[in-house]
Amino acid sequence: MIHNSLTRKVFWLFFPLAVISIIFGAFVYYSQSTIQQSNTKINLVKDFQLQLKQLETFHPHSLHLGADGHRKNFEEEIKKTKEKANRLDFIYSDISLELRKQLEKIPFFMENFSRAYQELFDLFFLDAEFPKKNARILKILHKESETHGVDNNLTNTHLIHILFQKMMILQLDIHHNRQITTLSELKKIIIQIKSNSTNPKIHALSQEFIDNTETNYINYLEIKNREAFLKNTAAQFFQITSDTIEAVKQENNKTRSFFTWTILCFTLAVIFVNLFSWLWSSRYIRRFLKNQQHAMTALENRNYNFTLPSIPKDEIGDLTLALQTLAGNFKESLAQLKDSEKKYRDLVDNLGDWVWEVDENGRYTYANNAIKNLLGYTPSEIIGKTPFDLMPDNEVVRIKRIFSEYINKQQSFSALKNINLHKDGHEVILETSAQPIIDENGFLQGYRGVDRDITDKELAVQEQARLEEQLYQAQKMESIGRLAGGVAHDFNNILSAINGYAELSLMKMDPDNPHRKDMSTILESGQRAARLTQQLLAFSRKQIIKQEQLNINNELKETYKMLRRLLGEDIEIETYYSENIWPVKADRSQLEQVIMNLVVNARDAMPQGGKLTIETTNVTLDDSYTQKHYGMTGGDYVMLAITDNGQGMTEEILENIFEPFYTTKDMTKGTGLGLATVHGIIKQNGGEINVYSEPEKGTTFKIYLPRAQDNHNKKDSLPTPSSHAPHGTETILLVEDDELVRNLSFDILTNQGYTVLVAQDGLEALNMCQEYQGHINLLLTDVVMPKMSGTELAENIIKFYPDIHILFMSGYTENAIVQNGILKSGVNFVHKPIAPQTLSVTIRKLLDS
Amino acid sequence: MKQLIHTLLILLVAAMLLSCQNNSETLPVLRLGHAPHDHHSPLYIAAMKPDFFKENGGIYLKEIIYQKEYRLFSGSRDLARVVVDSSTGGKELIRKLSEEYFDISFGGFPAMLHFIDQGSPIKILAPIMTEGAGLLVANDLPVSNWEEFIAYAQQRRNPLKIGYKTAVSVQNLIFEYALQESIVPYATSANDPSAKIIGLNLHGPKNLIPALENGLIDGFVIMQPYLALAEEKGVGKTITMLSDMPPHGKWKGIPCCALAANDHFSQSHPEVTEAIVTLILRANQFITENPAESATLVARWLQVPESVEKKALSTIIFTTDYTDAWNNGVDFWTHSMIQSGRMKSKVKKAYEEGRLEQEIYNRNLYDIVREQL
Repeated sequence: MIHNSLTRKVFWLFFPLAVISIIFGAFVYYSQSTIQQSNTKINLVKDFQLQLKQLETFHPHSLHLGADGHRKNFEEEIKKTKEKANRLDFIYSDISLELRKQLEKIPFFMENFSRAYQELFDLFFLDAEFPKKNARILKILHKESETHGVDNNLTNTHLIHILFQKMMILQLDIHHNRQITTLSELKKIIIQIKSNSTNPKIHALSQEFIDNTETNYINYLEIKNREAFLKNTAAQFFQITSDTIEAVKQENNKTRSFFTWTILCFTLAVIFVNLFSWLWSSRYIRRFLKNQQHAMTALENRNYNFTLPSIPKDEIGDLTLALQTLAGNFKESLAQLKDSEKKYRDLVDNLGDWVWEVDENGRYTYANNAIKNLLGYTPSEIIGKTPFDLMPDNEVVRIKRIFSEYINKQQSFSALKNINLHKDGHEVILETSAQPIIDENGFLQGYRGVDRDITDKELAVQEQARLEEQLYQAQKMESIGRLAGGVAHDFNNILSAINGYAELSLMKMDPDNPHRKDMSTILESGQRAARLTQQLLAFSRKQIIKQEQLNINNELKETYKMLRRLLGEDIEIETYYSENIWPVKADRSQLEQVIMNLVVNARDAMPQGGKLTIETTNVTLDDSYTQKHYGMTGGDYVMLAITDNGQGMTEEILENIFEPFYTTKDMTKGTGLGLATVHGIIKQNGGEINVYSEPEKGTTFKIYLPRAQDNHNKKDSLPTPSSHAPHGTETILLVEDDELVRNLSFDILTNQGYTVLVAQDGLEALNMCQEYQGHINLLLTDVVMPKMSGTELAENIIKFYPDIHILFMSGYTENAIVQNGILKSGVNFVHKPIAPQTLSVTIRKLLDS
Repeated sequence: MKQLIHTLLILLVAAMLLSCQNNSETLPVLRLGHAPHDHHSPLYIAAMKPDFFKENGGIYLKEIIYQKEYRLFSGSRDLARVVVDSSTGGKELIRKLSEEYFDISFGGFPAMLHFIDQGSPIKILAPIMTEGAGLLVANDLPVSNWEEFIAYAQQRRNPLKIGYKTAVSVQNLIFEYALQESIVPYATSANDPSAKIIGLNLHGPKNLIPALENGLIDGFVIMQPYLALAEEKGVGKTITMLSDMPPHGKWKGIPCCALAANDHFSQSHPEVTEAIVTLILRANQFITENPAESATLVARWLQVPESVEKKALSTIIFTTDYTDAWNNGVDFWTHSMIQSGRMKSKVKKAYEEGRLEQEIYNRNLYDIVREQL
């Protein structure tokens, strides 16, 4: 839920300020206007006071002496005073009730006041008239006294003068508030005047004078009374107005004080509200910042479960809560990131490949755990090292050159093979791929990459190459063998004819026949060619062998004397025959041939003499070994090792050592078929031969022959050709596609008395059987023929002649009769080239069996 | 947070209230009017004997400016600032009282009735004195008592001129009533040819003695101490006290001066009013009980010889009670003033309705004060 109360809070934060400011402004305006109004009122009262003062300037005593206009002015001033008095009601509201009552009376008092002024004016008028009147009386009195010119009257005249003087003095005394003792003197003078004259007019005038004087005095007292009243009243007015002014001033002061205090209060209120706002805002912001800090600190301390106290329910609170939520999300993300990071770190750490990172100086800043497996170092041991610290010196030179190019170009590279030294010292081939780390300014910060141990791969490749080489060699040997076999087969057929006819010729010649020697030479040469052909067949594993269970130790012991003679005295023989040596299944003659060939080779390798070591032992070869050696299968073997410390062989020689006709010997010494024959024999017997040689150190040939599974020593009983071919009369069906062999065989058999039916192939043979009326005792057939093989022919002929004897003849073993050169049990076989003696004996044996 | 706001608001309001409050309670001002003569002696005694009254009753005046300003205390409490002001007496004092020029004033009882009748918001607070006034004539006038005075006036060709201090005063009224009683023509204008005695308003007692000395008048009616003073100066002789004027016995104990206040003040400041009345009446008692000291004090206040005061003060009866004579005198004044047409309104109506006392007196206050004496 998203709050929007912050706006309200801000509003309520500033609203009181705004309200107070408005009230404050209004109040200041009101106070100014009130004070101005008060000042106006004070001015009004002062104006009234001024008017009173103005009124005082119109002294009635002087007014009556002036023109009527002065009185009019005076009356105008009186009128103004009344009007101004009436205007005082304007200020009634601002003064106390007590003062207000007095002020309210001023207009009323003004009536008495103005009346008193009028009275005073009249009194002064009278006062001014009294001296005139007295002067007139005195003038008449003086005149009367002169008219009645008597001494007394003359005295009176004098007295009247004195009276006038005293009267003037009295006037002064009266108007100066002095004692009026002159009045009594006047009275005495009047009495004298009266006594000096009998003139009633003088008496009356004298009395009038004294009455006038007394009235004058009384009038003056009235004036004083009025003046006192006016003075008191004016003073009272002044007092009231002054009090009013004072009251208004006090009220004004109160108002000012009130305004001042109120303004102060407002100011305080504004300060208070401001302070409060500041405090509130500060506290609010501080709380927000504290929460933020708390949250940040918690986040910094990786505490994502933090709780924030007193979160306001507003946008700020939402923001804080958002931070908290963010922390939660962050925690969740971090957890996910951690999981991911852990996963990837585990992945990286447990990666078989070495993941690394180097800085701009080429020093490792990171390495995963794979380094331990790859180079034997822990990651911490690697940190700070350079890749070159881990390389052999010659590799450093090469890799530095390559690296410098990549670094200069800030290029990534991949699958860069380099040799490193394992912590234990052995070499490890790594395949390195890396990318440059470029900062935002384009500067190279280092490289990040991965190394893969390709040592095994490289070795495997090498092994593969070696195996391929082996395969190639094997195929080559096979091809050569096939070639040799084919040649040998054809040679056998040819030699069968040569040797056969030579032998037949010799058999027909007399002992003293001069051509007998030539024929014997032909026969010997043919036989030597036949042996050569046999070697070729042995090499090509096409030789017909007769395997038997042998104890190789016994075979070696039996041949030891012959070997000793063969090696000569310069060569020492050491033999190490393992006891309980397993039996092997092999052709004895072939085994002897192998031993002889190897010993002869060893002898030839040690022309200056040396030591020949013959060793036998039982070994069990596992897959790891057999995988490296093409053609071998795991299992128990008997190992025969023949070692010399002769001149040894180079790699090049080793690669060709088993090839036929390859020899390092003189043309007169070797045929190049010795080791090829050994190789063929061992292979044909299911074994393996390895050679280890180093120049000037010697050579070891290791022969592995499979352990024989049974101890039954069964010897094939093959008829041995004899010098006297037996004869017979039975019918023999001869099937041979080769004309020479067919003719030779026909001749041999017919010479021995047999009836020979000849067929060129199997179909012809079957036809002959169907057509032939007589009994066929034996079938002599080639194995490999066109149209129909010898075995098929045999199977079909048995249908016609169930008791027929069957004799196969063949130059090589690659057929259904011979499997891997080893005869099947019960199969009769003669090896080409056909020897007449052998053929005759074999047939006779079969027919007689 | 709310508590803080409330506290601050309360403080703010309190500060505003305190600031707006009048920071000092104004001491009431009591403007006390009197005329500088013996009849108003209780004021002088009260002003000049603060220690006595402080010890006797606790209410006293503390002098600030001699004869001008005092502070009225009740115990240790400062009740009011008392401004003492004087006037010529007679109706002048009461006029100023009614005009609220004074708050409380001594004054002649008939003048008080006159202004109350005219509607002035004043009430009589307490009686002050009776008698203490007389008729003094020039030494050379051949009379020694009222009867001789009347006879002399009647046989004179020229009317006797008798001065008086102001237009309306107890002395004038009694003198006029006595002349009427004695059937002597009287006028206040010299132009009245039938008048045997002419009353001259000399507008203040201070003018009386000089006028007598200089033959302007033949005598005057006045209150003490002017009678004694004139006799002391030898300018005249008192031929009768007013209380002895006819009708005989009529003027014994008749109200002369009383203490009155305008209603506004007495209602606004009852405590001050009560205190000052109590003090004045206690001063009355002091004068009665201590005439010699009182004469001395009054002489000092009025700046007259002590001998004058001793003579003058003894002729005055200072009272604290509305005696029968007082009440009779009130009845007389009321009746006669109504009869003479001087009172036509409130007092007349109240008198006729039998509620004169309520109309002219503040008896509640008086009764309270009287209890405290």
